[in-house]
Amino acid sequence: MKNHISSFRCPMFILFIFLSLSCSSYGPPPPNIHIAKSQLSNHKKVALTVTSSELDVKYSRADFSLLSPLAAMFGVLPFLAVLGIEEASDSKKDHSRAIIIQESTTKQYLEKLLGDNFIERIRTTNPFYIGSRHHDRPQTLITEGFDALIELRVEDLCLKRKSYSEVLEVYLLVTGKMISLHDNKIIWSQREEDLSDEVHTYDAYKDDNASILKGILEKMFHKIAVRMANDIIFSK
Amino acid sequence: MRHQTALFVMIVFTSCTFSGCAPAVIMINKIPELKGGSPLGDISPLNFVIHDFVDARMIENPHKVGYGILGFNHNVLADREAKDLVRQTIVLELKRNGHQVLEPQEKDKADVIIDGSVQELWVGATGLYSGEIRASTKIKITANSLKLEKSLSKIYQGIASQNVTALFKFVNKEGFERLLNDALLSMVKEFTMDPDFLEVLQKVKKQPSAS
Repeated sequence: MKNHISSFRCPMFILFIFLSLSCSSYGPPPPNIHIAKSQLSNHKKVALTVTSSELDVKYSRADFSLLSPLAAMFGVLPFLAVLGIEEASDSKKDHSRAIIIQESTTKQYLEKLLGDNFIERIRTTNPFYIGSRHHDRPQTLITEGFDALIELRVEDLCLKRKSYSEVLEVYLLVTGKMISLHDNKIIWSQREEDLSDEVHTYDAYKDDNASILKGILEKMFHKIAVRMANDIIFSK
Repeated sequence: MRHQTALFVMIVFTSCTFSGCAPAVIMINKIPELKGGSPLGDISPLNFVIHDFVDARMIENPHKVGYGILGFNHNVLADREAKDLVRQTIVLELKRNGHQVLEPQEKDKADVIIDGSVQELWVGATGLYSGEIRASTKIKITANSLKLEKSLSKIYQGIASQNVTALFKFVNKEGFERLLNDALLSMVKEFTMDPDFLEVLQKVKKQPSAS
């Protein structure tokens, strides 16, 4: 009996790993929360904070690896080890590329782009007063007379290589939430993403102080900021 | 015993690997609908006629909306034609914002007539290594009005993408459906929030009726 169990142990372990990977969660994002018009009228003064992650480049990492289907077909562990080494090497190359472009598109630049566009759109109809703040504590904001806090965050901004080509597209994912400072409840949340129409090579994005990239980013940030602000302004 | 074990493991692996080979048919029981605010709702109610869309995707099967990983779930099919799916999503958004959508025969009563073609509509695994699946839509829209001299013609596109956490996850029907819906709604949002389109609708409102 003991021998019988031990002969099954190794294949069962591999099978367990395989199934764990196959069945791991797909992880859909949480649903958006839409603010009601009645809720909006309770908030007269709203603070805005914007944070951003650094721009990332996925050029080498986008390469197709033949090891993946091999791993799926014949077993996981040995191929995963090689995949890990490959991933580390590609990440290093991409990191160096990202650092060069980050000099022209700093976090502060991205935060300002998103924040300015959002505030500009909100102020076209002025459903409430909106003021930009830099990570103030809720208590400080309440003392200053704010009713709510809108937090916008650039979750993902990257230059992604298109499959089977040398060109990259710009991918942007922004999340936002509005918290009522009186009861600390989230009364609005939104997730917006966009992919650039234009594609260029890495060098084209990098050259001339990233002027092409900046032009694309301005359009994308404007679009996303307007969409998010519209969801608040035209609440039902 | 050892051979039996090997055979058992092989059968399990093979069935796991090919479990996604059959075409995945997405049953669209409910047309995706946007929630939340839209500037379209701020425009006085208008009568729209939306003609049948043209499928310009150069795909033989008009129901095909996607592909899976390396041939697994290769044919992702919708239970209705792709052009109908796009048209119905737009109809729903107009109605949600208080506008009326008339039958094509009632063209004379329409304030705005919309024609469109579907340039792109697909969902699929775009990065096996990165575990990414993506959906994309692209439509060409022309808005005309008997009350206006000029017509508006534009191309709108929407995308949705999701990184799957597992390397060897076989993308399932629910994932395809959710992403396809996200892409459709993203496109509808772009189209209905376009300042040029909204301006046309405002102008139509201000024009005196042709009759």
